[in-house]
Amino acid sequence: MRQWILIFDFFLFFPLVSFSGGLYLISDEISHSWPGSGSNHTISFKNSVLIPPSGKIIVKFEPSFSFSEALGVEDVDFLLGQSQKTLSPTSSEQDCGIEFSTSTNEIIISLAQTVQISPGTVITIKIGTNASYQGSGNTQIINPTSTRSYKILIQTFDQNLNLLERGETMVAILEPVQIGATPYDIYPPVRYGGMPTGVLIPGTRETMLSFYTHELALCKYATEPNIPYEDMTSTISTTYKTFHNTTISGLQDGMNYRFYVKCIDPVGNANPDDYLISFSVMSPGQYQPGPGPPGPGGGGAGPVAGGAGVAPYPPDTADVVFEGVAYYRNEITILKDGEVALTTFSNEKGGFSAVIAQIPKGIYTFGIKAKDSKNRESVLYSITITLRPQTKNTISGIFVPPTIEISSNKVNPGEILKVFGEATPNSTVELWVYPSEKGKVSESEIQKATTSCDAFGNWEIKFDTSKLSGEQIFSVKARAFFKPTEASDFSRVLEFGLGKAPQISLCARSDLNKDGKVNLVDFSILLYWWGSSNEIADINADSKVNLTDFSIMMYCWTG
Amino acid sequence: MRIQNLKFEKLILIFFILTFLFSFAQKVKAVSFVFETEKDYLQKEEFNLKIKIDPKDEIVTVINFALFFDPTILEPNEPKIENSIISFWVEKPKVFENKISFSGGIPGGFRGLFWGTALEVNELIKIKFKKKKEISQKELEKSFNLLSEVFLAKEGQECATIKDFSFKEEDVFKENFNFLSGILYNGTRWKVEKVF
Repeated sequence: MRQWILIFDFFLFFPLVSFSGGLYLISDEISHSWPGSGSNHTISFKNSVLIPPSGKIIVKFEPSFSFSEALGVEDVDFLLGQSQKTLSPTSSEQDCGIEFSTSTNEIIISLAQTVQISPGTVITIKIGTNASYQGSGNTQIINPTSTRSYKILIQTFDQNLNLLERGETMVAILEPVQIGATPYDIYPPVRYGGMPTGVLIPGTRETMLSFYTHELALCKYATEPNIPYEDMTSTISTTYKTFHNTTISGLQDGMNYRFYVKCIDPVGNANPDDYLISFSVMSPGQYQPGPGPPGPGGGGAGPVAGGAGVAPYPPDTADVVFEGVAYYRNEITILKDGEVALTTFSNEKGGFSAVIAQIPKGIYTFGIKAKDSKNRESVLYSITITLRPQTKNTISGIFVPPTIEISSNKVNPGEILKVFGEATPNSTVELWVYPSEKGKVSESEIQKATTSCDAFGNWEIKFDTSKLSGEQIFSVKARAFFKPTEASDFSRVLEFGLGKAPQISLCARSDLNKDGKVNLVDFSILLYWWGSSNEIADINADSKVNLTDFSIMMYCWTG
Repeated sequence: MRIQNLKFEKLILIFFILTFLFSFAQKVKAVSFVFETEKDYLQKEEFNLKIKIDPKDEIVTVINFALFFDPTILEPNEPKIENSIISFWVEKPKVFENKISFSGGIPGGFRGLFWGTALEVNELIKIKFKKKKEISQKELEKSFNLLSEVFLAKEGQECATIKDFSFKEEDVFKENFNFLSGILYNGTRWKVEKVF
């Protein structure tokens, strides 16, 4: 079945507790994101300042959107919390007024003389065929014809047209993306920007649990870890969206709360791992109002530490999302400039996704590696990118190379050498065997063999060494692919000898302190022995600790 | 006799064509250094030089860099490394007499995967020079001498000596975008969205 998906909403977040920063929790969910298409909009936000009777709400779209002259009261639903308000062309004592300005692309709602909106109210405006309160909506706003993100400005005014608050949201207009049939969407949703965090003020009895997903998803939570998505009973979102929120009530002072969140995308990729949103509510004795952050020995409390109102995109930071394929249900580690930044898990198709949020802008080398079911590690797949401020950067299509092991490092000519490991489930693995004691090898010297992985990603090739000649050392490596033009990098290189065993591998020798990792500790040992002939630090055994040893260490880096 | 001479000439010609094509093919694939400058940089008293690397299809683990300049023409300031792709320095960038040098590595290696995209990054160092005398752009560019080694992620041991470099006018990235995306040759996809 083919479906076309819509995407996207966006959001601004302003402090819930200071109540002075403007409209917050703003989103606009659109039914169709492709250029030039009619689309329903569901705009939702909260106000932090009271909107008095006869006050106004103005929603302004960028000029590239097209407003039809046919837009009328039946095409708009206006809800305050769960309560529908009646709209008419002009406001009156009971009815709110609605006007459409096709020249300025504005929707202007004037509150009735008996209606005011208290701070913290969820205000929802539905525009298009999704409106149903005053008849069936039949006219939609037409999307811009170019693909990019577009701003939607929302402002509130008092009865004298003095500006009270403002806020912006964004919608992305994108070319249609096919789902359902594509073999490539095997990535579960990335969850990020979870709120609240830290400590909430005493007396907080309910809070909004919220977070984002990088694609449309349904989400649930549990209060215990490691519960599969399908077994979770607490639903957060019942329609596919990217901003997810639910109210958690019954909170008590002095208690810690942990919510384990999992989501599923429209093609059924569920998160295999939990996304934790945790916070606590302060005891009255701990709380001392006043400036400054709370904390042990602190001089009082701005009430929330990293709490519910922190903007998800502080200035000069960026988010990075990684999507790719690795092994069947196993651990993925992401390194940032050589050090472990996070770990996550792949699903049964090998798909994984992860986000590192709020990284200061700049230049970073990220490394991605995976561990298979036998604890073998992949080589590090490294990516160096520049992160511009206030951007979300997505790198997808990452293909983690296979793991590799050999049955023996010494075989007699003609014996079978078993080469095996794990790769992405159902991928094809190509093996290369070539003499390792030569500098460059020609294509004719490389023996190749291919096999298919099973549904768990296991692969094995029985390599006939009668194809090889001479008592020498050979290198063996593998790569995986679904399409030969989009193959992974090669795996770790292993060595075996015909009639003689090779020396210990260079990557094993790079682990100078023998802790099973090649990381900063090994680098500092290398620098200590720099220029000497120290046997431990001289990785390639050429009697010099120099740049070649350093290069081998960089190649074998595990973090 | 004449036929033999013709055959010989043909062979020589084919040999030269093949040699030319072969050397060209090698060059296309080779790692190279790019010196990026602002437009009309020589019209100013001082100018910045961004030293960048283009790894082509290779993955570079370690760079051992040495650039010689003419001290009668140029006076360099301290090199800047804020935007460098190097994660670990064995020798931090320094200027000594007529030489700018450094050595450093990138864990897992550096690949020029994002060349030409919004995510591109390939700067090694940035250095400001003061002109000591008027000189043409051609003469200035010829006055530099590069002698660097680049180690590749082929088990970490393959090393190439690089003497080639080219000058390029800086492309100023326009920040007024909202959404950019692309697909790279190996199937990797990238996307950058502005968020507010």
